[in-house]
Amino acid sequence: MRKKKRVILVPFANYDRTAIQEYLEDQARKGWMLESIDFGWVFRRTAPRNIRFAVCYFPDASAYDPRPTSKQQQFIDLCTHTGWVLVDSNAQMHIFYHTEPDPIPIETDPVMEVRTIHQVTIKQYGALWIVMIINCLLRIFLDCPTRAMYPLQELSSMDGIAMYVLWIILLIVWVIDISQYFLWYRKAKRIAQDKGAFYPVKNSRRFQLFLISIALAAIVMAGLNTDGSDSGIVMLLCFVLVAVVVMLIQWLTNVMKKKGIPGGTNKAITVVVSIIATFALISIISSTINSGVFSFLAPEEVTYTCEHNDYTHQAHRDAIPLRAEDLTGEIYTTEGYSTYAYGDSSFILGQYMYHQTSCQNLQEMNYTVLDIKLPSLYYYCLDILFYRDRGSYMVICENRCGAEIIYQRYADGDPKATYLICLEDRIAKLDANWLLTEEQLTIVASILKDCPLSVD
Amino acid sequence: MPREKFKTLTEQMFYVLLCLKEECYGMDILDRVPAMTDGRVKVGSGTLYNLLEQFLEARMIRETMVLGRRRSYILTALGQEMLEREYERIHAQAEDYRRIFGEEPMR
Repeated sequence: MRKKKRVILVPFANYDRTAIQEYLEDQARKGWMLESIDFGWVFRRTAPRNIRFAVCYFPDASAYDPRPTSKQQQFIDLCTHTGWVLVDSNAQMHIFYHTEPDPIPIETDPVMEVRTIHQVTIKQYGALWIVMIINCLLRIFLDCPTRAMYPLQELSSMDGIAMYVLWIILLIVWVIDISQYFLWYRKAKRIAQDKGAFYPVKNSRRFQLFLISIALAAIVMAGLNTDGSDSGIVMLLCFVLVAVVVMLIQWLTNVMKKKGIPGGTNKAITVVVSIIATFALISIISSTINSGVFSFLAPEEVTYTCEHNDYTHQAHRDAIPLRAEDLTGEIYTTEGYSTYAYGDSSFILGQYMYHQTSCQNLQEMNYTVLDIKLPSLYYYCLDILFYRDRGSYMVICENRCGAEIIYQRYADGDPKATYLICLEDRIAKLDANWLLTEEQLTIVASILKDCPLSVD
Repeated sequence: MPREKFKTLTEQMFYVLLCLKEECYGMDILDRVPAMTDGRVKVGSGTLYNLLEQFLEARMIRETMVLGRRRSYILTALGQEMLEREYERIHAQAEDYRRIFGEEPMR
C-alpha cells in the first residue's frame, strides 16, 4: 500500500527561502503536497502538480499566537488577493502556493526582503547562537584542566573522547552556521542595493549534517564503551531524556495554541514549564546517579578476604597477566595475595592497570600497560610516564631483555624498583617492592609483549 | 551606497504613493499599479504590506478606515511633498537628458 502521508525534517536553514521553494515545488511535481510545517514538515500524497511556492517572513508573528494577529492577517489577505494560498505558517515563516505558472512574487523589493529575513533570523536565532557558542566553548575549555591532568585516562576513555569530539563538532557546526549566514547577509544586502536582485543562500547544510552524524556517532560510541561501567548508557539516556523533554514542551505549546490560549500566556507557561523541566531533569539524573542504579566504575569481582596476624583484609582475585610468582619462581598461590585489574580502552589508546598486593609482606607489584593503537602517541605517552614520578630514569637495557628499551627510576642517586618497559606497541610501567634482575625484566617483557589485555 | 530612507523613492514606492492620492484599500493598490503602468511595474503583496507599514510610520500616509480586515489609506501632506520631490528629481533628469540629446527620438 502506498504511503499517503510522510513527515520530513527539512534540511534547509530557515532563511534559505529559494532552496525551500525549489524543494517544495519538486515534491509537488512528484505528488507530495506540503500540508503543515512544525517540528517535522508533513506532506500528503496528491496528484502531481506544477505549482509555485513562496516562503515569506513576517517579523512580528509569534510562535505562541493561537491565530494570526490582525496585521498578520492583513498581510495574508494581501497575498490571497494576488492568488497566493497560505499552506501553513510557523512563527515568522509563512508558506504560500500559487497555481499560475508565473505569478507576481510576494516580495518584489530585494532590499526590503533581505532586511526582513535579517530581522527574522536575528529574532529567531540570535540568542540561540550566542548561548550555543558560549556553551560549547565552556564545555571545551572547562574540561581542559581535567584532561590535561589525566591525559592517559582521557585518551583511553571512549566516552571522554566522544564527549570532547561532540562539543568540538557542535562548535564547528555553529560557527559554520553563523558565519555562512552573515557572509550571505552581507553579500545579499550589497547585491540587492547595487543590482536590485535577490541573492540566494549558498548553504552547505550537507556538510553540517555530516558533522552532526559524526557527533551522533560519538554519542553512540560513548554508549558502547568497553570498561564495563554504565557511564556511556547514562550519557545516552541523558540525550534521550533531553530530546523527549524538548518534544514534550513543543507539543504542549502546540496544544495551547490549538486551544486558543493567548500568545503571551502560552509563552509564559512554556518558559515556566521549560525551567521546571530543566530542574526536574537535572534532579532526576543526579538522584538516579546517586541512588547507585548505575555504576560509574567497572564492576568488581566478588571480594575475598586475606588473613594475616589476626587481621582480615579485603581481597580481589582478578586475573592478571603477570604475577610476582612468575618472576620469583614460587608456586602460584591465591592465599596472601589480592589481585585487582581494571582498565579502559578507546580506538587510540588502551590503559590497563594491574595490582598484586600482599597482606603477608610477600613480594608485590603494580603495573600499568599502555596499548598504543595510534603510533604517533607512543612518545607522548612515554613522556607522560617519565615525568609522573620524582627522580629520573636511566636506560638499563637497550635491545636486550626482550624489550626495545628498559628504563629504571633513580631518586637521590639510588635505584628504585620502578621500570618503564618499552615494547613494540606497548609501554609498561612496573612498580615492585624489590629490585628486579635483568632476567626477571626479560620475563616481564616477554609476558607483557603480547598477553591479552582486556579486563573482564 | 545604501539608499537613505525615502530620500529618493523606488519605482514601487512612487506608484504606491501615487495610487494613494485617492483613498484606497491595500488590495486596490495591488490592482491599480499594474493597470497604471500597463503591467510594467508590479508590486508584490508582501512588499506592499511592508511599504504601507513604513509609510504609516513615516506619516507619509494615514489610515482612513478599517472595514473588517480591510484598511484604507490616503496620502498625507508629507507624502504629497515626498512624491512632488521625487517627480521634480525625475523631471530634472529628463530635462538633463533633453539638454544633451535634444528632442531626437531614442534609438
